[in-house]
Amino acid sequence: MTSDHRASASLLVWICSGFLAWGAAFAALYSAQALGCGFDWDEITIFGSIDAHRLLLIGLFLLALFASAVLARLCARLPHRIRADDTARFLGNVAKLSAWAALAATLVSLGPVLFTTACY
Amino acid sequence: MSGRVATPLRLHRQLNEIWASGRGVKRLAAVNHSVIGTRFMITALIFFGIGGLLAMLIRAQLATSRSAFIGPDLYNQVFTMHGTIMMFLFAIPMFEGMAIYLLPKLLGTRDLAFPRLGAFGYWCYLFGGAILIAAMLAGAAPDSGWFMYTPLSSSAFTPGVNADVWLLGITFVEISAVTAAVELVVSILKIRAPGMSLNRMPIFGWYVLVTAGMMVLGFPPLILGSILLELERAFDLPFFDTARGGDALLWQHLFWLFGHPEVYIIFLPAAGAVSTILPVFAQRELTGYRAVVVALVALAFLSFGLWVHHMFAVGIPHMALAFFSAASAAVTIPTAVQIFAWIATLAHGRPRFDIPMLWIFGFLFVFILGGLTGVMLAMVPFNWQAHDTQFVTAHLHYVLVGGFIFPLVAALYYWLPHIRGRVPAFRLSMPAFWLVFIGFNVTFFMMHLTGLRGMPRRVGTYPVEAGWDWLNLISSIGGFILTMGFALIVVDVFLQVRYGRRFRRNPWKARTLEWAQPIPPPAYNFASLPWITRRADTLEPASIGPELAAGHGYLGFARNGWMETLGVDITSGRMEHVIVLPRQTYLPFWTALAVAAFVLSFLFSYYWFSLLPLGIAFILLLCWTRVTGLDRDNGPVVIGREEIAPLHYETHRPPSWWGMIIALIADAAFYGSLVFSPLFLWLTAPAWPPSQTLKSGMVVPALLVATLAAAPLCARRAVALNAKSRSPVLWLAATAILQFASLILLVILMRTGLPAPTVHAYNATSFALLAYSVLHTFLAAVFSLFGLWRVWAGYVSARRSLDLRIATPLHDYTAITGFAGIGLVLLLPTLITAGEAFR
Amino acid sequence: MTVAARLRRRPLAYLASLTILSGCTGPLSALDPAGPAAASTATLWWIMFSGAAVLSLLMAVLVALAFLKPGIASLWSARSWIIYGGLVMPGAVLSALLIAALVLGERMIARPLEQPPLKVAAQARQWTWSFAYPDSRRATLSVNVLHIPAGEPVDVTVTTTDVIHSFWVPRLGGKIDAIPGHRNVVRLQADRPGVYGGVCAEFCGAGHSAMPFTVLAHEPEEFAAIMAGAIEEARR
Repeated sequence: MTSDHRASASLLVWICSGFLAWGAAFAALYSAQALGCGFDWDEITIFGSIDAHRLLLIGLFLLALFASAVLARLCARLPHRIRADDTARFLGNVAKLSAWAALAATLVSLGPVLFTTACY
Repeated sequence: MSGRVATPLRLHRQLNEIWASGRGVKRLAAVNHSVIGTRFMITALIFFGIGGLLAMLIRAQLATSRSAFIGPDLYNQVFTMHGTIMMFLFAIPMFEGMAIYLLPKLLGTRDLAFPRLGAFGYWCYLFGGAILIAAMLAGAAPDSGWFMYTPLSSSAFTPGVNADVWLLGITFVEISAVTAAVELVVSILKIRAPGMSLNRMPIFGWYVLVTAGMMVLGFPPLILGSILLELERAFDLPFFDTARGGDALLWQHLFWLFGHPEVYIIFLPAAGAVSTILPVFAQRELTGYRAVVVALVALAFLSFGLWVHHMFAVGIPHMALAFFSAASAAVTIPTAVQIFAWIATLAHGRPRFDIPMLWIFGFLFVFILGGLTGVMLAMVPFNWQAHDTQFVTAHLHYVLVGGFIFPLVAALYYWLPHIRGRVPAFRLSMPAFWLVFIGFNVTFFMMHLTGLRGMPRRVGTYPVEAGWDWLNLISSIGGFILTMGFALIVVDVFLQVRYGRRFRRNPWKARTLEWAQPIPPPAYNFASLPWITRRADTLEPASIGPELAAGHGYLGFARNGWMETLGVDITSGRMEHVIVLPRQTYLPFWTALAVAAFVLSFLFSYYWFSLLPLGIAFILLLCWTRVTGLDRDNGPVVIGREEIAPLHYETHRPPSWWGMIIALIADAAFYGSLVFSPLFLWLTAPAWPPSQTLKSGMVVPALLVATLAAAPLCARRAVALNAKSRSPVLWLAATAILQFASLILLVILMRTGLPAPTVHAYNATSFALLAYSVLHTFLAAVFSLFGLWRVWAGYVSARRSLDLRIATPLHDYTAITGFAGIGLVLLLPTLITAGEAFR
Repeated sequence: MTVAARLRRRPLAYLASLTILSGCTGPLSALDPAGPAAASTATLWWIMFSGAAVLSLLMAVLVALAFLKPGIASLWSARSWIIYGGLVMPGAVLSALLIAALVLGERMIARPLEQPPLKVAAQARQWTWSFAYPDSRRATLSVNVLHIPAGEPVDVTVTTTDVIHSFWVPRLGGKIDAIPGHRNVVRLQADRPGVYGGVCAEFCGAGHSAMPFTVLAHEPEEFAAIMAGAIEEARR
């Protein structure tokens, strides 16, 4: 009985997983941006026109994209799990599509780290 | 199986006896979802009327330049109250009422999970709203704008009671929003007709699930903000006072972190109504059901990443603005998916016209325009120009009136026959629509231009040289046309309710379960509960209805005077247990009254006295548990259709357990916002570092960590022993003692280590973090003592273990937030030092 | 060409242009720009306005088609409606718009320049504005009138002594809030000498409606003279 419950709730968690990752990435980048400006990380030059702040932000952005992509891959398998009934397939598909949507949202909403001014 | 089943009429009498709410003074004891839902809706509509009258005053004032109709003091109260009423006292409660009324009917059950909580929420809403209106009539209404920006709303600039009315009244109303949200989430997940898996659920269920989930996460930041601001006003804790380490921007972040999801919380249920009504008139089921569900998930989350677009002009760097600008643009896409799912539904159906469709067309037209101006406002450079101008006023009315009022009127005309059992006699709805539609566009379309021509929001007078006179005059004329339209709707609804033709069942030939009921619906909804074998918006109410009325479904009988309905597995909808709901009771009313007394005594600054009604409210809440539970093991019971099921007291995770989980998620959102506050201030507030920081030593914190960690372990031990039919009493007592010990240690830390909280925001936020844990250790200890009492009173056995298990998540949560709080309080001084070193 | 001649030749177009022009001008109109920031924002607005007009018309046609002629509308599968209408179309439009707006925003922010622009300070309080000129050799102060040189960027540092206000000169550029304890900067430029109206855009209490100010853009020599204290009016 118990394991059934866990399985049911877990599909709903999977549905949210992609966007939870987006939310975490969004919060992380927004904080990193604010911290960097607060502590002048943008004045530490690494090479050429790239400063430490920008490097950190781009790094976090790529990490977020990677995590989102991994999640999307994991969610893509959900509808095809063995012994999945109608409901599990439906929820698996919703999870899959949500994860893809979240990946796109990560790309679009955090993409500005690549070219916008961080501290003005 | 017909042999032992009563006739439909006898069954109706028996069930009605149990479920119907009383008349006369017994109305105060009503807990039935139809009654509560209707009350919510009627009350919300009355507030809508009041808010509308205030809007008329605003339009009268702005009709000409240099108007002397009302002075600035009154004008500020009027527009503040207009916004506050429409947002908090109309839109949200209206949604709650609609969802509370409709959901069990659409889901094929008899009531929601926590009927008494629903009733309590209603009374909180009514009393909180009444306090606001009373203050307005007394001339002491809030006047700092519905957004209550500090420091204008702080005691230095609003010394009177006005701002306190807002903070306390709205927080009071918000209790009802959060309770309703918890109730709706749990009900949708656990209480549906057997066989209704999530993929068979009517789409409205998904909309409400997502909306209620958003409320669970979105309202706590505002509740926190309101509490912090009230603490600042009442006890001088400087959370927002720049001179003492606070920051006005903290308020804006907390407010809009709530405020933006709020817009979608208002829009989504209305879109859910459209997704339910439109397919009926397209004469086919909704296409793209799955795409709509994905769109809802995306909207729900994305809407939490937009809040800074209300703050583009506060001086945040361009990159951060770009994040929010992009997210604001992205959120359009799930909305577009829904709109095209509706278009595709029409395209692939056999559309027919009726009054609800007219309002849906109005909705599409107005809302799409609002969406387009929304995209414009999401663009940073344009926002810098248009922000805080009449352009935004126009935009938000296009979105909210378009996205909420138009679908709501469609829903009103669609479900009114269901509520009252009558179909329209006259066709006043047609002229009413055109008055509202034309009036609305005349009022608000020109306002875009007024804004771009430089007219800011919230001004009561303007110079004639600005050249805004004719635009404002047009808007004011439109406003009065709009009002006439709404007045005509009121007349039309009155006529339909009084003189409409009686109709027994399903006037629209809809294919959802609520139309399988006789109309108006009986208190118990369905004489027996249906079983679902396909998507529940493709059913045949005409055949299902009589079958259920004859008692051929589940629970088609009256037993022990119990209010029974069925609980199902969250996803598959497999039948799981019988839920015995609590009967009609005055407790919610008295509890809400006690809370109202607390709010009022706080409002008039009787702070010590206010503890008395608070204590009474708390004791009354404890009394709620008296009627729940069983004092002996019962075993599975017959549920009809040759099946048996256990009672919810004897199952692993009944709705109340999930209620605890959802409540804790809301609590976590609250705590997250609280944790955010000192970190935000540390990074951005001007008057940091504080002169003094925490000096605690390590003894008290170490002891605290030990007691906090030990309590949930003891609680788990108690649950484990109980499962083996051994006495959990000792371990429960240990849990309570450890929790009280934590409480005392926390107070010691607050009193000895922490500098006075009024000196600096650092002290105040640390104080608040520790106070939060004090409150939670107290609450957890009460739950432990409650467990002890239940064991002693014989309500607990190995099989009936819920009273012990329900507290486990709370114990864990208390320990985890306790660690986090102490950790942050200890870490802050280090952060401050490090921050100064690197800056 | 005289007005009468224009009316005779293309009456509708003339009347339309007249209405639009008179509708958009005004001392506080963001659609009557007088500086680069306001001008590019106004251009952005007209692009978005045209786009929105086309899109809303398109949506009206599509809804009407689906409702009135479902036979034609059902030639496209539900899936295509949702994918092309709900994802592809808004996706394409929004991406283009977003990039354009961000690039424009990058040009407007008050980032450091090689030649630092002139600095002026605007201080708001309930319910007046006072302006100081730190770059000026004399401690010049003006109340509710801001003097700037025309034809060059000016950085306005905005602060407040009490509640939140917002500094907005619609014809020159976007607004910036004055927030207690914070110093915000907005970069403005007036292309020509002239008088530009400004207002407080953030609700700031009982006097919010009556908190206007004026920006006087001068020829550089005239501005220098004012800063030198030669013109009495500055001390008003």
